[in-house]
Amino acid sequence: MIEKPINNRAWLLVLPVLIFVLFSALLPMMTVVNYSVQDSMGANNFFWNGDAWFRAVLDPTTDIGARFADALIRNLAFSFTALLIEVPLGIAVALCLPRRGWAVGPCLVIIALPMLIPWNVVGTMWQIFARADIGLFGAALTGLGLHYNDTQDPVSAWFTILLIDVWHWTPLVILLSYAGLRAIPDAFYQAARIDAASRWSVFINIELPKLQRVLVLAILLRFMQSFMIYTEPFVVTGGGPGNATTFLSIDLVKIALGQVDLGSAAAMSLVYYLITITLCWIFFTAMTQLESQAEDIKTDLRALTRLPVGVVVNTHGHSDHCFGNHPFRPATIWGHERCVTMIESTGERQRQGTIAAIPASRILGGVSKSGSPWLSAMTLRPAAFRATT
Amino acid sequence: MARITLDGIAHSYDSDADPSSYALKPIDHVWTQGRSYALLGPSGCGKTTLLNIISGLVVPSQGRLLFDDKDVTFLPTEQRNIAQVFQFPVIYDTMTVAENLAFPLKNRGLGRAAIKTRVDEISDLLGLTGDLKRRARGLTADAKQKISLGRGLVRSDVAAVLFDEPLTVIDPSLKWELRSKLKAVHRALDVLMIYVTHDQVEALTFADEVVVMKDGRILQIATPTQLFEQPDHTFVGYFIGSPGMNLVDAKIDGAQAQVGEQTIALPARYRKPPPGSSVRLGFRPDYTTLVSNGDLRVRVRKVEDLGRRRLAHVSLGAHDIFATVPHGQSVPAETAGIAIKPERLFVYVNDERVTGEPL
Repeated sequence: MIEKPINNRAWLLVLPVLIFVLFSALLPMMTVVNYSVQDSMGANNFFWNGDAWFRAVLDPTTDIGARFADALIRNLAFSFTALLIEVPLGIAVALCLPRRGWAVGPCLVIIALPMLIPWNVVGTMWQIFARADIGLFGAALTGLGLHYNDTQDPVSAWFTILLIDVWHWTPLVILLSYAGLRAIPDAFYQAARIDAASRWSVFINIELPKLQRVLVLAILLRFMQSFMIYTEPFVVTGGGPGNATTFLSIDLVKIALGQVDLGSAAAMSLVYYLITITLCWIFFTAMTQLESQAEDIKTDLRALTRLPVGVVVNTHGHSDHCFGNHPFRPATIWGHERCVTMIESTGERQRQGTIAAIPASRILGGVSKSGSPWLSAMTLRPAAFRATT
Repeated sequence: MARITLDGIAHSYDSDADPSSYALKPIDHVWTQGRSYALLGPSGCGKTTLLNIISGLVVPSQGRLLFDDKDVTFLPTEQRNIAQVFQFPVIYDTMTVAENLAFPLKNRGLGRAAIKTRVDEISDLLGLTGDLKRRARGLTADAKQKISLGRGLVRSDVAAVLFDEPLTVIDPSLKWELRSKLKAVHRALDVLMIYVTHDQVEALTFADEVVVMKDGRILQIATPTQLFEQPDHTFVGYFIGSPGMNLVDAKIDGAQAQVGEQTIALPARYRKPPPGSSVRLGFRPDYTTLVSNGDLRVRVRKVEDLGRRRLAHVSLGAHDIFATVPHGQSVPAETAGIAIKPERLFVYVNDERVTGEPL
């Protein structure tokens, strides 16, 4: 094997980015962490407060905890409703778009237009558009005899905010799905015709499986964005009526800037941050697990026997031998005691190396190649070992 | 079904193109049951278009397509009793091998028991029985290609199986095996097989009859032997065989041809070609031997030892041609002669082979 040249001076190239990230993200975040463990009596006098703010935020019986819990439920309800509408709608629209011809360009541009509009402009547009007295949309609904008022009626407010999000961001799902659909070779459709497959069957057996990769991406992006929702309710409903559209981000601003309660706000925003990351990780793992080698092995195994897997044996601690242990849990994992040592000491490094070795194109909906270790790499758990000799 | 008839079939992807630029120029031909055909030609010669017209994925701009005596020109794919195997394996990822094979039958409303019988039969024929319960996605390319083929063959009504370069993605070492499998299936099922390829070895080893195409036109339909021994067109001579046929410019005068300064006797008497037409002599290196005297004088450039035979690179006037050096013969120095087997020496006028009156 030829050694690759290693030159650590290349790291200097990323220095500007590191400095930028330090100032734009890391320092502000450390400030937040700082606030979350301290209290102040004003005049820049801070003293240590331990985890008191966090305990208050996570305890729904306290005032701040109750506010946090309510807003969190609103956030989750909003994100899941938005995903539930946008993903099927996006796929449906993508399926209806022309696949070739002059109409493709205009269609894509028109569909992409809402995404080009900044959030605050979207908010202002809809604020006027939805007004029950002079807004085209609000007045039309009122004219039809419907009870609609987005600043006084909670149902109208929620309906409006969801509608804005669907209008603004379904195009993202459409474009991603469209790209995914276009990547399906014609031969699949031709084969389906020869096999006399129905339109529905083509969708279920060809299109949906081939879209899996882009849908993972679409769902992740849409979840993160919708979970951060701030500007639209801020501009259109102001978090009202009452607290009906007071989402986490809006409540945070109220607590931090309105009440200048920096400790609670800091603790709350950190918990908010951790929830977002955790949910994204769960989504990603759940959706990509479907593809992992270990799952393939399990499927094939199920074809042979219904008996449970009792023991998995790792011959040694290399990634291609021990990654993917996790899906077989609660089976006991067996390996030489030095195999355990190796996984414990190098497992994380192997995982990082594997992830780094994957071309981005593979992750972003490229060719699915069974046999690539990257997905099962995500599921590495070096725990639950019983050493044997 | 006993045969497929192409009655003046022609196709253009551009609706207002003039006939000379058609992707497929008018073709009349009859394919008969139980035989295997190969469509052979370079990329863009119209072979895939022709295949797609037969399968119904493309409706021809002109002409009629008959299955026996029934006009199926406008009949949709799913109502024709044909199967097609594509360049790369088309399988349904989420299904097992057995479900893949059962899919076309399920869609046509067959009963469970009938489906199982057929699937078992075909998987047995293709050697897929051991994999039936596995997910199709995890299999190797050649196994997937067998599934593609199997999905066509499970239908008991299938009369023709079309292959569109099915070995493109197959590992070279497995190509041979899969090709023998195809031949075995052909013998077992008595179906009409049409095989598209640009690889002459695949075409010549697979098919009873080979259709050589170029620029949307059929140049010759013949058995592999005929294509080799009596090419109808200079392109066939050049495309088939390795190296291809020697082609040299000549002037024809009755039973004599003039090549540069030299004359050679022809095996027949030819009519004078129309003025302005290109006239060439064609003879395969395999039927041309390097001798000390002979029909024509050539300059020897180099001799290649291919193991099984020796091939001489020689110059005949301005033409670089090839000749075979017989076993045991020493290679003449600078100049030598070539001897051409008379019945394998052909005259091509405007690239078409012309026949003369026997002497």
